Amino acid sequence: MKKLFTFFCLFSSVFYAYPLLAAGLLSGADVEFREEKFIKKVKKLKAKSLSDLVHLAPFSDVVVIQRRFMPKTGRLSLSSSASFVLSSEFFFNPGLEAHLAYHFLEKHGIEVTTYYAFSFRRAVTKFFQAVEIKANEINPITNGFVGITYKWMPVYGKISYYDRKILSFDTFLSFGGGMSTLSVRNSHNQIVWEPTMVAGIGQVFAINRDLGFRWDLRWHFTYRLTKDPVSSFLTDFPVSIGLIYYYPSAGSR
Amino acid sequence: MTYVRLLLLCLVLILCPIAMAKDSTLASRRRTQMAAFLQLKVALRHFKSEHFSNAARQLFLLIQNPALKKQQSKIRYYLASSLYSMGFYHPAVLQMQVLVNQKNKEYIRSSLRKIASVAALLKDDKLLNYVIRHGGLKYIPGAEKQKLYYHLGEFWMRKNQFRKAIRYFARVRSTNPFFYKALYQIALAHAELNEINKAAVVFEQLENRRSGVTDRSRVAALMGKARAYYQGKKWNEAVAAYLEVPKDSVFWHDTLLERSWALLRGGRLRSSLSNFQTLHSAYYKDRYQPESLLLRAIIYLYICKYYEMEKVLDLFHKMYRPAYRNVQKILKSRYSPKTHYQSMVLSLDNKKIGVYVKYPTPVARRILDKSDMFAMHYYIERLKEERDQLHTLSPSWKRAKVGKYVYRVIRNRLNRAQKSAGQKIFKHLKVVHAELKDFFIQEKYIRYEMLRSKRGFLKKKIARKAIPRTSVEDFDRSFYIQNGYEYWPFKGEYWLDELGNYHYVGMGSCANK
Repeated sequence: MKKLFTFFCLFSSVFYAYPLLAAGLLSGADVEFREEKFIKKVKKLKAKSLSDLVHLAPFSDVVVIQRRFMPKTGRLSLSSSASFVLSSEFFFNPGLEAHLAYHFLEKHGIEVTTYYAFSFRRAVTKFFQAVEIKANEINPITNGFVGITYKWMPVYGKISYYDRKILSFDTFLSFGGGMSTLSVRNSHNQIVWEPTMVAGIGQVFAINRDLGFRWDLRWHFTYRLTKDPVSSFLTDFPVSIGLIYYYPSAGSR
Repeated sequence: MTYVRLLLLCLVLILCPIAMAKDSTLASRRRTQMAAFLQLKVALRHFKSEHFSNAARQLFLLIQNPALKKQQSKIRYYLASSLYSMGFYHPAVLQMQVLVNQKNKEYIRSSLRKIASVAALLKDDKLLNYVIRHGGLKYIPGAEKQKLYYHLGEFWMRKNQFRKAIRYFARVRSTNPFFYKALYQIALAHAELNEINKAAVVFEQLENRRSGVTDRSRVAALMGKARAYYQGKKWNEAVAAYLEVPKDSVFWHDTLLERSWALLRGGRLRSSLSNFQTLHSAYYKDRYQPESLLLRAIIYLYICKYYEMEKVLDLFHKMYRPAYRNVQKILKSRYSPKTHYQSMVLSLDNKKIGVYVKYPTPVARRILDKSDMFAMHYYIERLKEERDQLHTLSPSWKRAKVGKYVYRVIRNRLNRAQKSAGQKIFKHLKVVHAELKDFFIQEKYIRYEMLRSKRGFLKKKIARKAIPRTSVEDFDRSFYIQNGYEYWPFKGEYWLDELGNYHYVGMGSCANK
């Protein structure tokens, strides 16, 4: 055990020290070495067309800085989507969703989300009902939600379809909470609101500078204040597809 | 007595048929005349009900009819108008010119007006001259006259008579659609006269009058302003004006090279080098840009990147030496001008069939972009459209006399225009040849400078005085991302939406000099 620990310490010191040395202590020599290597590459270059001249500068010496196609800072966004709950075995739950968000920075925003899911019984549920088993009580789902999430958009990118079309997209993650209504009612036949935690992932593909196509997949974790320990935690996975509109307009250029 | 009676009877017998024959000739002539008038009436009815092909067919037959000799001018006018309405401008103009030459008071006014509009449509200087020579200005009403003033201004610009041109352009009123073009031309004429400040002021006026971002007149004004500042050695102002040119405008590509020159003259070498990442991308591989290669080499010389410079000069040599030799060969060839024109247009479309003289694509593009060649090509294309228009008509119309006449006129004009275009190409080829020759001399000078500077650099290196060549800037780019910008590291791949956004952030290699 002791030997293993010593080996681990040695290994980790070498593993971490090498890049530190490379970045810090050896940086001057490294730059020179890189330069010499690059000059050799330039000397070998046999340019045949204009585009071959791209190799005359190290790629790290060239950067692309361009205006975002769909900027977000200081803009409100409103989106509406059709959703579908993936996790329900007994019910078919299509629904509608609406999101209102404000982006205080390019990568950060706050979003208010609400959705309502309709419940249609599946064939198996109808059978259960025939034998007087109440499926919605055994496995209730959240059929309504109002909450607030923090939206983080760490990844942006673009894809191209040959040389015809370039499509920009943003990938976002969302974390937050809210209150959900369940498909069952309490003993007084009242709608039950339960606290819910939300985490999600999604993408926005820009159609133009103000309008985009949005999909997202969320995980709803609802804590049910019930005596039954089996169904005290509910998890749902609503997936939604829709359109998103940003306001104020970013203009056409 | 009997003899007398017999004689009288004979006379009656002889004279009666003569009188009867005379009567019948008169009647038949009257009948022919009546028929001709009826035909004319029918033809005019066709014209009024806008059945121009029928009208033209009948009128062309009637024009040679001696029975309608007095109506000939009228018939000719309606024939010309029918052909004009059918889109056969050249045969129509020929008929109208006959009317103008006959000084027919009734039709001279409208004939000249139509000839002027055809001249403007086809950008035909000769026709325009014809209108002016025959006093067309007094017959042409307000708006049309303004248009003509504009074309007259253009005419004098082509003759390098800039003051005269300004005088005509200034006559175009602000309500006329040609006003903005005229304003641009006024500024251009001032620039040609080396009146830089005046030119810049007029360009700015034009820019402020137009609101659309990509509006052609506005962008042209911006370009003009930038060029005027460059001419006046105001580098920063020139760069600022160039930067205002929107990327989706047709002029944007031209701004890149011009901006690079302005940046170089202003001492902003890195920014100047940034433009070449775009200019020398695969998107512009067919463009004629020997100058941009030499300019890139010069910038490399300034920042002591000799190996890179050598590669650029080698590429210049590799690309333009064969083009130069090719141009030389073409100039020596004995093909007809028409063949030259046709071959050039076909080689521009990358077609192989029918190409007798192979033009280097960048050279062909360069020549066709020249304003006079562009106008000529435009004129020929319109003629071809007329020819195609003829092919869409019914075979009976094409076989008719008018059809044959129209075909003959268009064919002759087309041949003549292509011949003239070929001659112009030849002139431009000579210019390109001289230009390339000059560039090769410059290349030699640049190479000489390169070798000289390289020697000094190597001396310092051996004496260990030289600083390591570059240090790559490596700082955080999150600043751009937070302000609505995107930052991408360059991976050697070009994207269409990134053109113009490549920035060179490397350092020069002669910091110790």
